[in-house]
Amino acid sequence: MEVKVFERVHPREYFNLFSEKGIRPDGRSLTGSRKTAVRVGSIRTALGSAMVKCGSTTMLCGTTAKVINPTGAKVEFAPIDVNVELLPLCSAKYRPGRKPEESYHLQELVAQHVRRLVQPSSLELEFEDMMWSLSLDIYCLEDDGNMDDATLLVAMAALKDTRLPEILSSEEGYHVTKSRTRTVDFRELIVPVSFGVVDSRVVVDPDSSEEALCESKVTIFVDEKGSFRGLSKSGGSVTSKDLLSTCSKLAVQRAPALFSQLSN
Amino acid sequence: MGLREFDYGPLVSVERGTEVTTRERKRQWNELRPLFMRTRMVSHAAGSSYLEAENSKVICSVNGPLANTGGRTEAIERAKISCYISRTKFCGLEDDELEKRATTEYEGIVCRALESIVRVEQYPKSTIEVHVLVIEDDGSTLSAAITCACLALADAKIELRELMACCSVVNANGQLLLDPTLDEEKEASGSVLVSYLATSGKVSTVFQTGQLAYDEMAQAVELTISGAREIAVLVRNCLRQRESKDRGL
Repeated sequence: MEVKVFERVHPREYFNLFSEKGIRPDGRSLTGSRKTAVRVGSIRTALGSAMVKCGSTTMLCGTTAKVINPTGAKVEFAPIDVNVELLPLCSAKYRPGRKPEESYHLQELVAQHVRRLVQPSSLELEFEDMMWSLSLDIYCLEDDGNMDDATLLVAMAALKDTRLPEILSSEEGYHVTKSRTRTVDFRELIVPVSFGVVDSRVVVDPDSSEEALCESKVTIFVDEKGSFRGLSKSGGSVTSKDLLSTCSKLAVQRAPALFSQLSN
Repeated sequence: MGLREFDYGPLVSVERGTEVTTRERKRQWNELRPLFMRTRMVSHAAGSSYLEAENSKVICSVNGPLANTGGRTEAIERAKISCYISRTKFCGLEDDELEKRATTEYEGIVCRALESIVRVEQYPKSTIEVHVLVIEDDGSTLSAAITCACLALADAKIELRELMACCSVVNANGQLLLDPTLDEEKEASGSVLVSYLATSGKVSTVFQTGQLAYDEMAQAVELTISGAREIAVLVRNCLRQRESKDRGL
């Protein structure tokens, strides 16, 4: 049987032939991740923007802002709206029309982290308890698996790149300065590292063909000091303790590379 | 599929904070902005392309030909082309302007322009889907979308009669301006868009809005054709480069 046909008809057997020897069909080792690159500031019309490429997976994010009057005396979480669009452009599996479920999942994942990570005081304005409310619009340009990592990374990179204008109040009213100098401060930074479990073997940064074979997916969040900041695993097969500890060790190993991409 | 290099070209290299518009930087009234185009941006799609004219950035991918699934089957001898245009929220247009630009109408224009070059009779009972995303809008994005879609169709190896290039002209304060920026589009009293068939030298779509005197109209069409001719050369070069790259591998 020809190789391509075999891959198509028996994807699991095809993958296992490689994974038994400790490598993957695309040439990576089981613990190797794809080349990840972060670029910031390519969209002139957004207040901040970033593009992340993990292998072929490409995400683009832009920040826009408006002024709001938050209710409540002290704001604990930064007011940030997140919108993730998975258009049919990025993969044939998304159809035109209704927003796919995955995009809501990614939206929530990003929102719950960035709201907590961004310092709300850095968005406060000096007058009348007003505040900047940011909205992050994330567009997928290509979907080749491991969207969780790419989405959170692109959101953080875009927030780091965001420069807000100052608002000056005068007798005629308020006006916005043309120069943008104000940065968005973080309490801390975290990076996500995702794993797929295929036949109880852990693979780092699974691509779309591997994701289709995964029994479960684990995402581990690591901070700059290399400590463990969270774990997310929704459904899938039961994962043993050993497997999770292997994952967290690998995540701590990979984190510095991602932080260096974010800080550039 | 191996790893691809991170080579998104000028998408990542545009400097920010350049407040000067192109005409202020002494672009002639009949001069195009520098164009960058590339095919194969989305490796999983049948064909895809990216087009950038300074700050206008458009990405397009083509799916298909796909089998028609149910629905009305009014044209079984020919392929149906469906086109979807979306814009990013941060593309530079305010919300009210976004509404003013009837996307559905634009989708129709792109569809009909493409129908004139695709050999639809070669793909019976099928649909060719064209998805366009306007990443950043600094004017002339409809014409950019059409050129970009044509490039993506060629990349998808869909049979085309010939290549098409599209260009637009506005009349701002009595002066015709080729390849207008967003500011120029806003103050324009009329605009003309022409899609030009590169080999036969014919015109397949003329789309005019606003007011133009008859003489101006004729002049504007001529101007757009001269612009489209330049773009057509770039489209052809882009495809040729891709072809030679593929052979080299």
